[in-house]
Amino acid sequence: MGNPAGSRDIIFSHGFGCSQEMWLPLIPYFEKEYRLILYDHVGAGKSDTSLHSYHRYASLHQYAYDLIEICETMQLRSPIFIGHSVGATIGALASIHDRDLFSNLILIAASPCYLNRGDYHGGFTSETIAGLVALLETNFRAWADVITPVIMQNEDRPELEARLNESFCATDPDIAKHFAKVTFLSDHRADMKLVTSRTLLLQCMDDSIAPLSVGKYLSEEISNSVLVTLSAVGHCPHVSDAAQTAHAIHNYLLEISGAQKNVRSVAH
Amino acid sequence: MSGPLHIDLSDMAPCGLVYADATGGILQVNNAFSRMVQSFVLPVHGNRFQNYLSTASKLFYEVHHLPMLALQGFASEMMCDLHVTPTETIPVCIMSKVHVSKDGTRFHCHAIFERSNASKHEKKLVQQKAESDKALQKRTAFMSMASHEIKNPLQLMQTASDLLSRGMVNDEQRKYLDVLRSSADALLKVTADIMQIGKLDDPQIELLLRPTDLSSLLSNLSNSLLLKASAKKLKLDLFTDQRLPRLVLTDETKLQVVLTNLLSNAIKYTNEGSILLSATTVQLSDRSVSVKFKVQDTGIGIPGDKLHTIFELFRQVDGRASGFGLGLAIAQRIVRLLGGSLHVETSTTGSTFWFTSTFNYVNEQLEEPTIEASTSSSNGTRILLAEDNELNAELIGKMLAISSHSVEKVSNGKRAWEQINMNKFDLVLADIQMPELNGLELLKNIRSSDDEGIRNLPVIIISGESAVDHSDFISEYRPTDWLVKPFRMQDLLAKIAFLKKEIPQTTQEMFPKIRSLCSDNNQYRQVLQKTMDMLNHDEQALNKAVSDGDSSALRKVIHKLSSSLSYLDASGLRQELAQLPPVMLEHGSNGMATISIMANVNTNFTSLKHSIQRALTSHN
Repeated sequence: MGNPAGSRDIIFSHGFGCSQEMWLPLIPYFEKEYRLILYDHVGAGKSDTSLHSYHRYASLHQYAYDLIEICETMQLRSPIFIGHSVGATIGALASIHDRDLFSNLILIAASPCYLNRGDYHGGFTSETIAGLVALLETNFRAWADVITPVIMQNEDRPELEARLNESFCATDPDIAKHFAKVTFLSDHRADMKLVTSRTLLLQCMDDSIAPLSVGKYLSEEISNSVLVTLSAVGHCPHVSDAAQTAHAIHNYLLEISGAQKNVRSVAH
Repeated sequence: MSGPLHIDLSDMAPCGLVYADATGGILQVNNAFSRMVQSFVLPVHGNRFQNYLSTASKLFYEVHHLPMLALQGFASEMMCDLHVTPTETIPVCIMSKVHVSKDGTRFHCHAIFERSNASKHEKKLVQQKAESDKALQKRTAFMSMASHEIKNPLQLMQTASDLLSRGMVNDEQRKYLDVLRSSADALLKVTADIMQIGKLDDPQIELLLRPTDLSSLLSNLSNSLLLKASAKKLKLDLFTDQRLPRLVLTDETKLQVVLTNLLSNAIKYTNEGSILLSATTVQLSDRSVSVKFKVQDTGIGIPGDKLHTIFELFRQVDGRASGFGLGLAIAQRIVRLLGGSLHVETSTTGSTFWFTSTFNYVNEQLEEPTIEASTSSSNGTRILLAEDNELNAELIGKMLAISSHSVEKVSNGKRAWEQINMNKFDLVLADIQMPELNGLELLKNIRSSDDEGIRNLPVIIISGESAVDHSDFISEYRPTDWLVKPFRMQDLLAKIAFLKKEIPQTTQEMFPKIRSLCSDNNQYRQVLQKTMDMLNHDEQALNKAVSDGDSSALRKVIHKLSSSLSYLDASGLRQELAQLPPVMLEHGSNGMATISIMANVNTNFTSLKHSIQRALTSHN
């Protein structure tokens, strides 16, 4: 996607609850200048669910490892990484794994730990996460298990079958439940100190999932980071206010390249 | 919300309606919503809609429902919990839509349906479904047990009549023997069908996907039914599309059952004319192919009013042919499992049954493990028969002896294992149910033996259950073949004959993929030697990367290794290696998990290098 001859690559990593389609509103702002790589985490969107294993994907590290493999297979040229929510954490982990993988990390509404732990306010308790898993059960499972076979039997209505298969952000119910637990029960606070890539943190004014205090925490832990607070409301600024989000990213990239030029001219 | 009648319809709606700005700030609600949350202290206007949701619901709303709404302009049913007081919630269903005003401002409309009653019914439904599933499981278990009980005596009847008919019998006796045999055959078909239906109803059933040659499957199938067709003077034609890929991944046995049922039906209901079996490619992509299978006959057709019952169990169109009527029900269930559905078109000049199935290609040519060539005597095969049922063992033994095979009989798996280690056999026939060491455990012992000759011994498993029930085990320990009880002796003899023919033909190469790339033994040896050097080098690099805790170096060396390992067919080692980086990252290079994987990796390396060394010396 984007401009194959673009000067740089950007790879996008989506968050929990959706698939790569989540990035659609942001695409127009970058497609002229950059080559854009979008992918689905295993279990989300149109990914091959047979690759999933509960054992291997028991932590976010395997997702990070998948991301590295994509960059390597596609031979990306030190891409810019843009990740949302848990996708941001996955990118940060990948950058620890291979320090030269990304030129920049852009983490939108990131949170290294969603649970309240001691003084740290992640925003959630493990009961909430259990509640979320139960909700996923009613919302996906009930649909998939009870209704789908009935519809599938109804051979006069192929359009229903088609709609089910093409539904937006389709997700495998079992993997979604597992991914929810892995995501929201994980604690990667200790890893954030190890992030050395230049990082832009985009946090929203009013985000109940990744509150401002978490953004602040991240900016203190990640040494080479800049924190920008967006006035967008909610957890998905790239969807609710793509223009503002893109603007913040453009500004940051511009500043970075300016700083780089300065360094070069000094060296000459 | 006004029309020609100037009535605000929103207050007549039987559900809560909330009109909010794009950030969720509530602008207007209808009476039904006010009633729902009347005891809630939060003021309605200006408050954010999502704050009325329980914490978990809010989380789901923010990460799924809201982005869906923004992306699609609507978001379909979300089941969640709505706060009616700060501490109490009720289950609701929310459907939302984006409304764009004339100046381009986006608003959200949410419709909220109470589902306290619905969720009660749902719970009841789920509970009842669980109960009926349990009942179904019990039924399947009973059917399977009953069929098993029926199968053993059936097996004996068949073998005994086979044996009798080989002796001196007069014409009249032969006639009675034929009756005996064909009755046993018919009974066998019915039990097999009932077993199959029971299996297909099991919600746990899985497909056993294996590389399958579609063209040869189809031609074997039409050949096997040719006799039946020509007995009724019918033509049986086969058409296969040239574009069919050679190998696809599918459950061969199940596909075969469907097509056999359709073809047998076509033959049964056609009195003159022809039957056409065809397979055409309807869609080709990089990874998969969709194939339309069609069985067309010039038979009597199916009356329109009976069309909807033909896929039901035990239904036949008015006794026009004999049988139990399970075939189409089985075929329909299997086709669904294969991801399609079975269709029928019919007229008085014939019927056409068709379905489409999508298969993934097999990229590399997957070879079955090579069977060690044996120095078997030219006369017969040395067979070890492990079967605890004495009568069965006696009959099978006698039949094998008639066909000039030499048979050693043992009554349990432990004795069999002793025999295998003491004497040389060309083939092991093992019943699955045996005391002390059962057939599967015996197979596991054989396949894990240190002795290469034993490890590669052909093993045919005899079982009352189909191979599908043991698919995990099979993919790990690879029996050479699988025979379901009751079986005809001729089936067993055919399998043995096939094996004997196959044995000398299979290559002895331990690394067939590399061998196929080399023009001669010399080159093969050179490549192996290079591979050996490279493995030595990479093994050191790997161990160093792990002890240094250097993930980047580790990934590089694994990446480098993985392609050569695929040429060496060392998938076990590859899988171990794939686990290593994330485990090391999580547990550190001295973590127990890392150490245990490394131990396996190093053992695998040693045995792989050992095999290469052996291949090198044997080609000297």
